[in-house]
Amino acid sequence: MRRSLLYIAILLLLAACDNISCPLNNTVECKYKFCTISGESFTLGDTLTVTIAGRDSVILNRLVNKNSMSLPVSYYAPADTLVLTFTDTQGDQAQDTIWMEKTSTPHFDDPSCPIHVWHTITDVRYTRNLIDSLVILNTAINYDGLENIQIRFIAD
Amino acid sequence: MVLRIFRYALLLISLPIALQAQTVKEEPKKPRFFGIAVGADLVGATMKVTGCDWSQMEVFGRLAFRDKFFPIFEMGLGEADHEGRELDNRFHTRAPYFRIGCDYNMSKNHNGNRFLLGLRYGFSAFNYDITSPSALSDPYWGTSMPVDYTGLHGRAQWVEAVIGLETRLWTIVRMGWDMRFKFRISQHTDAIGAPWYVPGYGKNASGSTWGGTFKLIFDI
Repeated sequence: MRRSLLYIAILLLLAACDNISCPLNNTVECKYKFCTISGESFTLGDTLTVTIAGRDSVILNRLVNKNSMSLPVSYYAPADTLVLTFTDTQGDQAQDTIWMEKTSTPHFDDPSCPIHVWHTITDVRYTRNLIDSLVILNTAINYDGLENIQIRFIAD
Repeated sequence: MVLRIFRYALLLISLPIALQAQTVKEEPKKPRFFGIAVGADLVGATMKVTGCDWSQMEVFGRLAFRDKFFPIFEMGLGEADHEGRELDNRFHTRAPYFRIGCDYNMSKNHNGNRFLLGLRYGFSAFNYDITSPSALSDPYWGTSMPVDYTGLHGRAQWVEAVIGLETRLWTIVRMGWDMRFKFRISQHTDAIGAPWYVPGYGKNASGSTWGGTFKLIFDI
């Protein structure tokens, strides 16, 4: 009996060992879905490049023949200003700007995992050169990977 | 002839002993109606001394009714100071926790050994810190902020199913161990994230976990 108690004590101490469980799907990006005015899925024929206004940092380079895009979101700014440059097959360019207002909260999983920042979209504004409207589908930008914003284009 | 006499003599000598043994067997020792015990968990103390990332110093008070029912109150101080393996994120907490429950002795013999099954309800309200010497940098916008989230508030409730053994070492001193399957019934944490460790519950990776104690017990 006493010996079994000693064995169990050793077992309990060994059981204190740990393992790391970081989430595998840990990308936090705002997912935009391209649509027609009527809300049907739309494949973008033009080449799209997205930059951060004021920084000229390219966050999406030459996207073509896609019906969605995922863009990073700033960690600390209250609003992101994104410049969308569309280039058609003739080389003609058009631009639209999207202002996305949001709140941001750091998200912690485990000390061994990187800290990510989750966001909640509060409002969007936009110019209307090629864009007809923006529709917020899901305000939460986190690990879920759901579509957040629908971009409805004027021209098909 | 001599051998036969020796056999009879041996039988006569051993007869009272055999009768005495039979008497003892027929009248088992009656358990005390009421008793009180206090004790402490040695596993948590050992984890603390050996510098584990988390530990819980725990004491308990227990009643005993007819060596069958053991209502018990456990309280302890849980603490964790854990740094990530490849990152320098740090989690810290230090807070009390409480459990209340009851054990039932499955053993029919009242010879000092006990085989216990029991349940516990556990509760803890605590503050925790998530910090890092490295700032959290935004790779696209080029900004950074320190990771210094302190005083985050959390609370948790859980239930434990307990199985354990106990034995009397001598007079009032007992020793025992138990293993516990713990499952969380509720948890409130800060929006930043759940705590890596909950005092009394243990590592908080999932809604259930295993734990155990190795106890030194004093009957008073």
